[in-house]
Amino acid sequence: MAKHKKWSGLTATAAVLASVTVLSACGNNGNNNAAGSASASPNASASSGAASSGAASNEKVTLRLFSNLPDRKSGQGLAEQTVIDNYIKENPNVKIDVEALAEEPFKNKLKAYMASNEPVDITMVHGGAELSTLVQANYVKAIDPAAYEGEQFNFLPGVYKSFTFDGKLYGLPRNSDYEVIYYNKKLFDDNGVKVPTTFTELTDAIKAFRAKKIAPMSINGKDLWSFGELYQNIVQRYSGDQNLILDAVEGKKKFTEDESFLKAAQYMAQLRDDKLFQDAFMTADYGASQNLFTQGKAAMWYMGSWEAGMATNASLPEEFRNNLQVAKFPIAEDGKGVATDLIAWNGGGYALVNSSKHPEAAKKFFDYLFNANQWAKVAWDTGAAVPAQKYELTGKESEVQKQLTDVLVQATSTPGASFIDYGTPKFKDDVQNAFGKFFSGSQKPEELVAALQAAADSQ
Amino acid sequence: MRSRYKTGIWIFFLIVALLQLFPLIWLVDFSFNSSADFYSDHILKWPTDPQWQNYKNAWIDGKFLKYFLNSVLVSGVTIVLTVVLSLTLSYAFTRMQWRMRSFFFSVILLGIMIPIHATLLPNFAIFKQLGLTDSYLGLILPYTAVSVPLGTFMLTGFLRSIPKAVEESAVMDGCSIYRIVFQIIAPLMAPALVTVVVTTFLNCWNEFIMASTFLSKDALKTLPFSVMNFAGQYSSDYGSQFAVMVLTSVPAIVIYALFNEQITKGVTAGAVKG
Repeated sequence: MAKHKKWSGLTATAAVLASVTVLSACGNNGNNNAAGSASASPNASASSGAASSGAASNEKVTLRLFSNLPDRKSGQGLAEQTVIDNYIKENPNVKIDVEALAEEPFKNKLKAYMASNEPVDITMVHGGAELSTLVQANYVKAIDPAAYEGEQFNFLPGVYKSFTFDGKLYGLPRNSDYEVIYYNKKLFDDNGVKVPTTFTELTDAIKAFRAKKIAPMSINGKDLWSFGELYQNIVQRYSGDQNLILDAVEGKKKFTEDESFLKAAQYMAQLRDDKLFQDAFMTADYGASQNLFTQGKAAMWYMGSWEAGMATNASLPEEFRNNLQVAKFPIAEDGKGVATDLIAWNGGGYALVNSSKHPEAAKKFFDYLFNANQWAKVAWDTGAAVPAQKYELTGKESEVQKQLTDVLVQATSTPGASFIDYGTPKFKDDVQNAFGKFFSGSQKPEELVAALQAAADSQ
Repeated sequence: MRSRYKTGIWIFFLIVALLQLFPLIWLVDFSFNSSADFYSDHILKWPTDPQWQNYKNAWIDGKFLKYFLNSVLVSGVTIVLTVVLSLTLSYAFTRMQWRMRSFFFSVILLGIMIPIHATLLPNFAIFKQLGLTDSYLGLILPYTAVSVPLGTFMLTGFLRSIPKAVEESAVMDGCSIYRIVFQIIAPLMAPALVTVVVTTFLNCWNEFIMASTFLSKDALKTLPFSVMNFAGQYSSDYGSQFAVMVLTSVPAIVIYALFNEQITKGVTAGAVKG
């Protein structure tokens, strides 16, 4: 056993060295990159000819799909697999190899694929900063937005924002993501608390729940990104302008100049000091914050629309599921935003890869995937997500799904992008760290705003 | 007085042992609970309704058997290569006289300082050119390269403590160099060799980052991928993941239990001799 300790000491030093060496390794990679793409391109063009003749003669084609959904038996992974199975049933000559890795390994490997121009056919992409990198490396293919108009696809208006660069569209979004407050109705009723619709009511609710020793709101502080959405939400409630914060990221406005940014930071400081979030929220990851809420120990959970499936998840306590409700984010009494302004964006989606060996077959499957009756329908019916396309209510929806639909349908304005993903990857890092610092200490609102401006300036 | 002192020591060691074993007990305990039971207030939770389903999931959806065989193959070949290379290298460094010997010894030892993951992207680029990604060899080569320096380091230390007289008499009897190394020296070094085997095994058995980058084909994937099969984008099936981890750690525990005594010998032997 003592030996083990010795090794862990060794690995610790090794890790420090690793971080240093990795940096230099990345520097080298640019060179390999160019060589890789040069040698791969003749291959790609040669085989694209083969593929086009293959499609005519029904020759066997194997497509490679790179996905971030390794769990193929539930949630979005199941939805994705269902569409693939449907397609193979209709096109027996096509085989689809899915390679799926969880979020972090996925992002790393996608970078490696990009650097070596790996001939994947279709890849999952995150809109915004990540896709922007792929576009600059010429790894993903531009597609024609005109081809996806109309009944067959039925995309909701404005969903291409995070997928468009320099006026060209490089992928299609699969979900509508928007932040709501999930709440436990029983906890509100039992303690005589009103579901907050304004910021003052929210602070009142905090005091009421804290007095009963219940955590008012659960949040995944460790992941940091929820703070970004929260801040964007509050800023919008003060300014009434969805684009203000995005303009600030682009440098057209300044975080330090518009007073909405400071007001929002001040309100966040108040929430922090009133203890809105559960104890030790900075150590809670996604699962931990969700469990606190589903076990009835927190009254609210600030999270995205993709959690619609909670209402039908049999592994959660039934009492909780019956009391699960959805509320819109409260409004500021002295702000210009209204309750129907929705912080919605389209994060995840798919893109076609330039080095694909079967571009036509890949495009065919890509179009099939985005047929309104495929991904959109399957994802909605299983409660895995709220699609980025119009979907029809089947009548079998859970109460939560209906409420989520209402929130989306009634929305009068959306930003179309999450501000933390609107800049470079470095910007996202800096901003998230600024929020982490703000929430784990007792930093002043002015310092937060200054840190955000610094992040926008240095990206 | 003496007995009280002994009891004190016993209690102390029991506490230490319990602390060491706790993660394992915790792992096994929660592998029988459902995902919803995680994050409850209990440190350990008696599974009133044991979730055998978790193990079924691990076996079927986690594709345990297939990944297990891949892991055995990759780890096995790596261990054999590491042991043979480390043994011959250490023999050459301690017993043979040649120019630049100490220089090359330092070069090999520098390898201990290079963590495997620092070589990830350059390796990926090189292996892709060579067509080694998506093959067992693509994992075996880097794993071996990382294990050999440490193995050589441990074996040279041990070899210095073995008297030369044994080899001298072997040479007198007309023994060839290969016979000396593999039939006379190797058995004498058994404790140290076992240590090399076990550390190499633990390193490759759990390695994920490199495997996840180099392998795309499902048929080649190793055990750590099995855990991934239960990870959703936002939340995971923790129960099944724990079941996979229990199954994954069983071989490691068995190996450690079998060679426990040898390992302790291997680490300490030769340490006192200056």
